[in-house]
Amino acid sequence: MSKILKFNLNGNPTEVKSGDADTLLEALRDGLGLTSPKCGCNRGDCGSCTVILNGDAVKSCTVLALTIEGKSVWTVDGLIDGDKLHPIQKAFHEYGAPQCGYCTPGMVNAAVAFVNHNPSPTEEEVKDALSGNLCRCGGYKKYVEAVMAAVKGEFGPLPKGCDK
Amino acid sequence: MIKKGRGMATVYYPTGFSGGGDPDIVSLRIKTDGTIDMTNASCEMGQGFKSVAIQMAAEALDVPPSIFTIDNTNTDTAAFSMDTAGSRSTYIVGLAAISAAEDLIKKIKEFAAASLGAAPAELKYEAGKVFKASDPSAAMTLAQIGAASTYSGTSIMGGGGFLPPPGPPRDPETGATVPTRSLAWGSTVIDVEVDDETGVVEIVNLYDCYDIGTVINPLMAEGQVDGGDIQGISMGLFEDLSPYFPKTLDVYASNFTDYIIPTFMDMPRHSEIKFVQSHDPFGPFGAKGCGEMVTNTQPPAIVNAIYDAVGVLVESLPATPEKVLRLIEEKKKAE
Amino acid sequence: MNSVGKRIPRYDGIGHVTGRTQYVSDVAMPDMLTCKTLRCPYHKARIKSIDTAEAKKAPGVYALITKDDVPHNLFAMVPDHHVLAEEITRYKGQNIAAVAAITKEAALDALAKIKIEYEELTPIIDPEEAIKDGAPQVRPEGNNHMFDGSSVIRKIRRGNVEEGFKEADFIIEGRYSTPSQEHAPLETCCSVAYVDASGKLVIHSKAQGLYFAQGDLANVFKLPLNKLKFVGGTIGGGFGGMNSIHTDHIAGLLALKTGKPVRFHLTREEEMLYSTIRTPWVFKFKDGIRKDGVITARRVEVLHDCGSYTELGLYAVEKNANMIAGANLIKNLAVDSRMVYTNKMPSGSMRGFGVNVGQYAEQVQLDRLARAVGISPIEIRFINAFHTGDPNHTGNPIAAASTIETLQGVAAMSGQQLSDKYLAMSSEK
Repeated sequence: MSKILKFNLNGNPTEVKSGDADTLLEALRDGLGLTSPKCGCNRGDCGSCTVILNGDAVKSCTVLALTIEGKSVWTVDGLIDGDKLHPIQKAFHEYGAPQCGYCTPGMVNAAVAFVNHNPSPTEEEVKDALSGNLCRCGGYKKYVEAVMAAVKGEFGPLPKGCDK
Repeated sequence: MIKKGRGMATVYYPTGFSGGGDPDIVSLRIKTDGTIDMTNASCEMGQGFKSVAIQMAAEALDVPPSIFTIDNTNTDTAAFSMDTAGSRSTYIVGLAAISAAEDLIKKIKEFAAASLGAAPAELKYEAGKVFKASDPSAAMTLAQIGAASTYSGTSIMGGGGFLPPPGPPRDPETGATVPTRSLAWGSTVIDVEVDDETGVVEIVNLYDCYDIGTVINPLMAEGQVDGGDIQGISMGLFEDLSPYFPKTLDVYASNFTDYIIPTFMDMPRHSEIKFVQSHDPFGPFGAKGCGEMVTNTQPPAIVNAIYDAVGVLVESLPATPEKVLRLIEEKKKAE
Repeated sequence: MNSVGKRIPRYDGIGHVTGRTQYVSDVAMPDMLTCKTLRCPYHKARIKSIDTAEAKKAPGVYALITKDDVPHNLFAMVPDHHVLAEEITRYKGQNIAAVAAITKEAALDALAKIKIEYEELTPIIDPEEAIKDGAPQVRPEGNNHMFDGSSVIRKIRRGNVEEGFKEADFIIEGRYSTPSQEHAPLETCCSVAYVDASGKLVIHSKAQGLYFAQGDLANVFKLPLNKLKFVGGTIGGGFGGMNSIHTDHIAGLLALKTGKPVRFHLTREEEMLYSTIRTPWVFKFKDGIRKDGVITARRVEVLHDCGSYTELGLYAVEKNANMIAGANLIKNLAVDSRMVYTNKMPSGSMRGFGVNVGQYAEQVQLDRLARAVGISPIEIRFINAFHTGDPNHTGNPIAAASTIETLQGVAAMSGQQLSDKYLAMSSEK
């Protein structure tokens, strides 16, 4: 059985056809052709597929697509305002945090959802919040430094929430 | 009880394929607005190949890196690369880029000679401009050369390559040969805390002092070192696909729940990097290979630190809590 | 210098933080088929019979191939690896048959319809057993076969180790081993292959060496290089794992067979269980050291478990032999480094390739020597350090040595006091 799901994607009303057993990751990637959420393990271990669902970071490979009806989903694609990067994106780039980049969209989403909830975290809180997102190339250090720089306003004020 | 310990390791690592003979080629082409198209089919897998390749070509042409584009996308259009492996790309692509830049400058002079009314040998090239040595006002920019050459149907493509000289055949009895001419060096000190009731090892401080020759891009090099630290810690403490090998291969990790790689929570509490930059006599701008050596010091430094902390020697990697704890128990029994 | 040495952010970094960077696993084509493979469930087996007739007729199946469908069934750097298994399989998870179908489910259903009869054979998985006389043979040429036709041992000989041991005040022995490791890049291996308008086979590949993979698979497909194009260059991590081919060959064969785009994307489970790995190593050291901390002689025996096919194993042993004695000047040295085949997945290359495993052993052994003599770990490293111009273990002179400078640097960073003697040392003699 498949069903047409209506939800809000990056601020836009969106419809996608989804099978009963499809995950949110499959709905986004295969149903909508949105490739920024990556599949690294398909069992919730690695965090490459992290998106922001109703304000919280979730691993989209562990969310059943049918459950997102009427909800709001943000991906890294929606965080850019024109060509203006979100401070978290800008910080990751300037601090050289991503290497191969495969974990990066998930890492951006996890970090944005986190700073939306906690705009002045400690380093330990950042590490804890991002610890469900694996990176195999880097040492995590530059990601932590970048988040700390972003919350201190080095790349402009943090937007409140995902809506621009 | 938490026991503190310190360990160190010192390593060296060859740059490029063992035995040499692994060539790369770079092409450089001026576009009609003076920007430059570089090609080489090395792989960008996060190490920063594209950034570093452009910086070296820019240096060789004395122009800003921002005017470059690089194509490494396919075997139809990107110049030959042997492989992206063996800590070779910065070194060999860099030398190929220098060679391609020299060729491009030669061709720029040959083309500009007619327009500037001088022999190529009477021209000088500096910072994206070619001019008469005797009259610097008689000059052409890269944009002028790109447009004039293209629209006059003249090809100006700089091409160059580098082949690390193949070593002599290995002497089968003594092993005598020349595996590589360039070597990177490094030392690491690691401080650990070992819980002698659980066997858990935590990395407290990590200090890396590495010589990778001239550092072409410190941001990318630090990224390599940070990542190398985490992979080295992971090799030292966590990674084992088949923990009951060689007894059986049938207990085998197949996911990140069973095969542990570090998370943010496994970072050293404190880490520092220092590059001592010796000038390699063969490398591009004095650079050596970096990518692999940076993941070599951590496993032995950790094992040496564990010995310093609790007096047990981990003779097979990884130093899992179970292994460390059993060694501590055996030691107590023997005492 | 204006560009070299500058902290310039990543060329493709904006793509990474915006999710615009496209990896092979993001490539989708209209009408694309999905590939799944039948993998051997045993460490070693004889395929007594295989019947694919019913599977080929399964709904949604466009092609099903076995070894007989491969123009040249050997690939890899040392081309001894079978694209699809011959009569005897050599490792658990070895590809036997591959199917291209309209969905993953259709492909898996078809694989389940293959009728195959195995005779399970006795495998050998312990390298120290595999090297013994009379061990079950992993391959017909023997378990110690060296494909370049050279001696089965990679040797280093400098000076005279027996004389060196006589000069020593202490003789210290140690045995060390390292396990199997997976590269674990976050993007698992993926290929998308299709035949373009000109009849050229195009493969989107995770290969670290596009030209290397192209040359290797041109032989498998029996295609000239102008009919085979590799596309890639941006991958979600490699760490050496993508120096070996895992999916390009099978995706390419199925694209040629069906004329449609085919994607072969390994699951995390497949990548961990069946792709190339860093295979185990065993090191045995015997060192002689004088009271003043000078290593007078070193003998090292190395055994590399190469897995079931050569892949990069032969080259790993060579690199290991050259480097295993460590960043120390050792006048009397004997290294015997050898590899042995076992019935596990083949040994690929992995970051630190053949060297970091040995350096773990060597650097732990070095601390043992320091303890025996009663000097500090940093002292023994200063005392035995290479200087510029010293002969390396392979006899060639060392350029731009830096052990001493990195030791001085790391001592300062970590707050270790050095005596004036060590502070004054330099790699330049």
